[in-house]
Amino acid sequence: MSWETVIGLEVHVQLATKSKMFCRCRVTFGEPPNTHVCPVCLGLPGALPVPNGEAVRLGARAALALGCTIHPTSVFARKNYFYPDLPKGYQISQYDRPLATKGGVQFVSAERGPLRVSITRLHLEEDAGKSLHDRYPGKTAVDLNRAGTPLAEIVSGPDLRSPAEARAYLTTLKQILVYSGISDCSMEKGSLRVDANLSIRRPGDTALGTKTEVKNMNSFANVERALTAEYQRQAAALERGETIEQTTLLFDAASGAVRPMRTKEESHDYRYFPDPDLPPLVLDPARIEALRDTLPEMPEAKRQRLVSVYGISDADAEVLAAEQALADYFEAVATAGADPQKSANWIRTDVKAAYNDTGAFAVEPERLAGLIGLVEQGTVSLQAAKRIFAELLEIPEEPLVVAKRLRLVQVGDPDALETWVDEVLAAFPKEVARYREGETKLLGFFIGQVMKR
Amino acid sequence: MKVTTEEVLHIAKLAEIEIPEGTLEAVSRDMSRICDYVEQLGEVPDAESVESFRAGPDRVALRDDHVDPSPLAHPVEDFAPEMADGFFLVPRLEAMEEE
Amino acid sequence: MTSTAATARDVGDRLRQAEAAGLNATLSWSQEVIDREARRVEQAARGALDGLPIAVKDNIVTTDQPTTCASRILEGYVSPFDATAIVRLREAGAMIVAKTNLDEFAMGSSTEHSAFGRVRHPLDPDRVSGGSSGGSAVLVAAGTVPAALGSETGGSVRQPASFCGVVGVKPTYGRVSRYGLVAFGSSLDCISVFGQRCDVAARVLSSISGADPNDATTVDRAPPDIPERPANLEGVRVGLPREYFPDDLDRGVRAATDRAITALRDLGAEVSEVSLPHTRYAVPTYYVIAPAEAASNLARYDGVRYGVRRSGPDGGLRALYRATRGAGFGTEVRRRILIGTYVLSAGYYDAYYTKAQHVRALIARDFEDVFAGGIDYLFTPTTPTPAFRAGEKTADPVAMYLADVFVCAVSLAGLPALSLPIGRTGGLPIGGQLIAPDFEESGMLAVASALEEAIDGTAEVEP
Ligand SMILES: [Mg+2]
Ligand SMILES: [Zn+2]
Repeated sequence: MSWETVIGLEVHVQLATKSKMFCRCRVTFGEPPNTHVCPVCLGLPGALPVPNGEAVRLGARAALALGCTIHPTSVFARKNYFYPDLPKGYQISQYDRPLATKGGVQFVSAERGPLRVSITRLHLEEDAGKSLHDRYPGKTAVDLNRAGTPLAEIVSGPDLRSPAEARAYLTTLKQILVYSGISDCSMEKGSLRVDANLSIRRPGDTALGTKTEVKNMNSFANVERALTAEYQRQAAALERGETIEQTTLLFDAASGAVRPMRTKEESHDYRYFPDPDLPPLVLDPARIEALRDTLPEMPEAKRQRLVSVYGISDADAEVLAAEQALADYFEAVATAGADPQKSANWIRTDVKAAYNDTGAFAVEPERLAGLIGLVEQGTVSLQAAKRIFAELLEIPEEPLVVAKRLRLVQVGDPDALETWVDEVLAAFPKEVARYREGETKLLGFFIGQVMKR
Repeated sequence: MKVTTEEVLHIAKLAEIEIPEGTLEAVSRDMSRICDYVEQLGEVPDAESVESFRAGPDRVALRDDHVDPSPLAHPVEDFAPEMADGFFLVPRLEAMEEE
Repeated sequence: MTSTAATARDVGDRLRQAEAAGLNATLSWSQEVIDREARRVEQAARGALDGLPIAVKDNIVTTDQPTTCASRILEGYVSPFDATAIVRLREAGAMIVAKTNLDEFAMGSSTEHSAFGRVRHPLDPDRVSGGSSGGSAVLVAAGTVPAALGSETGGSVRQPASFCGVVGVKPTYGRVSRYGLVAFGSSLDCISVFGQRCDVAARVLSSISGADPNDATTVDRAPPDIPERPANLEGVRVGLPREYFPDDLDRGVRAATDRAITALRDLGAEVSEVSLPHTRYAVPTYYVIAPAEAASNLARYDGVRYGVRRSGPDGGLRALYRATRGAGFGTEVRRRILIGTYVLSAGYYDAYYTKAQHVRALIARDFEDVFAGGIDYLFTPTTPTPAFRAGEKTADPVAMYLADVFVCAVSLAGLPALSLPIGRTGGLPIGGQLIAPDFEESGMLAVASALEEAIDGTAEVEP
């Protein structure tokens, strides 16, 4: 008997601001502990929060990029719980009146084809600090540099049906957020974190099974691995006739297994209530519309346009649209006159490899277009062009110049050759005379001069 | 008792407050007395439509994204109960202990 | 010796006398700090409060003296930043001379709930000063300082001002920055002012007012003008809310308010009876909202980053929290945290918190309706009785809460109000309360100064 998997994801994304959500401390990574703290993010007596307008703007931008409805009025609320890296004993978040609701992410599922996964809500909140449990024996060490970092929490509906779909959703979500300049979405730096809820049920059942929460995944690949492990754990338990307990599990990347967190004493009762320190967050509709106008083309729209405008293949368009920079570069090369499909071939291979290494495009779109043109005209072979490209990455020369220097020009045009020979003979009359007098070793010199043309 | 001793213990856990030995009954009695008293709010009909009320500004004023941390007149070390290498230290969280 | 230095020396002498009298009004002060303040004032440009010595309730943070909130949990804590009100007082040329005793974390109505001992009434040591800003009220009443800062959450300046026979002014919520005021009930908390007379209270209030980029709940309004005392009150319409004059009102209090009402009429004010129908629900509403906010605001005292830490029996973190907070907080603070946690907890939120928010809106609307109906100011007694005896109300929390029955509603509505001395009964001061619409502090203080001039606030009033 088979099981249907139901997955929903909660993604916390760090908003790319300079200062923290409610204080003017710098947002940093990897600095000495507790060096970027102030009365507000230390939770000192008498300190008060003041929201960062740029964090609100980025949160609203994310909401628009995800097709959400932004609420003209939303409310900051306190989520109360005790934890040593939570300085105030509560997290400022949003609860019953979030910034935005009802959006969606479209992507192509390997199993189910084109899919739209709903975004239930997007709200703003502050991050907690960092607790290190293994640095001092018997102690937890707390660093509050991170406390107060602005986050958007993006909650999907329980619409995903496999660990692979969860990964595909995350990949698309990240593309959208990076495209929109909202976050660098780096899981290594903790600027994107994923908590996954998973339950299983018999196909055809409408009620949801008991869900568990899986945390502590440090890459999209590990999200997929963790969810696969949890699916197998739940399926095995149910097949043994056991019931699933609603619990939180941690993924261990080394073993690939999930293990339940040591059971908490209390079920959570966060006692949310509106934060009396913060009046309602009101966004004028005109401001929201203005923000919408500044959104770039989203990856899916771009993919479709690359196919329809440039006539490149779906697969190529997908690769190019996945990264805004790559797509922009492609369009520049095509605009410089290169054949679009040939440009796409070049960019998804050699260019992308070089870009992934260096993070930059060393060969300007015009030079690549020139090189593609040389191949097209038959001036150089494709194989030669690859060598020339490697050279172009290093030095700022024109493709033809490099081709000649490396003697890679193949002359498929007899008329041209004739012209060049005539030109060389006309340019070096003395050498011609000496050759005619029997100095045959000058032949190499003449060939060299022709090659240079 | 409106607020039973079990409820007091549950609430005390949420609030992370120790109830001093021998005072549980008294705490339950005081809390019940206060809850009985505030329950007269139930006399006010719910039906009346009233806008929710908040003193102060109608909307929050947003701050520019400038880095300009409020300075500390004396360092964290001056008031922290326990620190090492710049970290605040606390007993290791039970949930994080190895099984 | 310069006049400022002389003032500094005199204030020190008076603080010593207050201490010697056993008032227990101060938690920290030193001649050294006062002298340093005097030198600072001399070197700075002259301000509106030039050289005025001011005492500050010990829940307003200062970098040069400890801020304990009269709690064991903050014993010895020195804030690394100054409250905005402190910065503004200094800019105006005031000298911050002492930190004053209070009910722990401002939770109380008698200043009996201080971890560092109760404050004594300056006229009768067996009686309470009122609270929670009892220390500040007493220092002004004893003539130690001309003015002091207190804080109000539900009447904690007006009520002790009434008990001690001084002027106490609570501004409109949002008028004065709360940055650096240790939070109790954030939607209610207001730094407020005590003065020996209306004029000095008005000057101090004006100098600490104004929007603050560090407090998102401040309102962008120019500070209130310091009013001239009007020659008469012609054209001023004063309402007497009947719910504030119950049949069982203390006879001395009634006699004093009657005399004050007559004075208002004699000054030309139009006086009429009005109604604030939800008045009786103010105290129960307050005792849901304030503890709910307090439970959350006081979660930060966990022994992790500052304050006094205590270890628990098993040496674990949860035990540390519970021991630190169990022993660090006094009975009344623990009680309010528990009540506040209870009313916000799953299953009770709507019955208590949502309901209280609803009633709060009705209470605010009562005031709006009265002011919209042509009333300029309301006049009431500040408290139902003069200062009560120490220990009289400590056994029953609700009895203590009812000491604030006439001051609570104003706090819930965020309105400005003041208490001024309107006579004495049995030798004990009685306060009269003026309540104004939002941001009408200046006019309210003008009416108060006219009344202050018209009656002898220290005279015994025969019932
Ligand atoms: Mg969250
Ligand atoms: Zn900070």
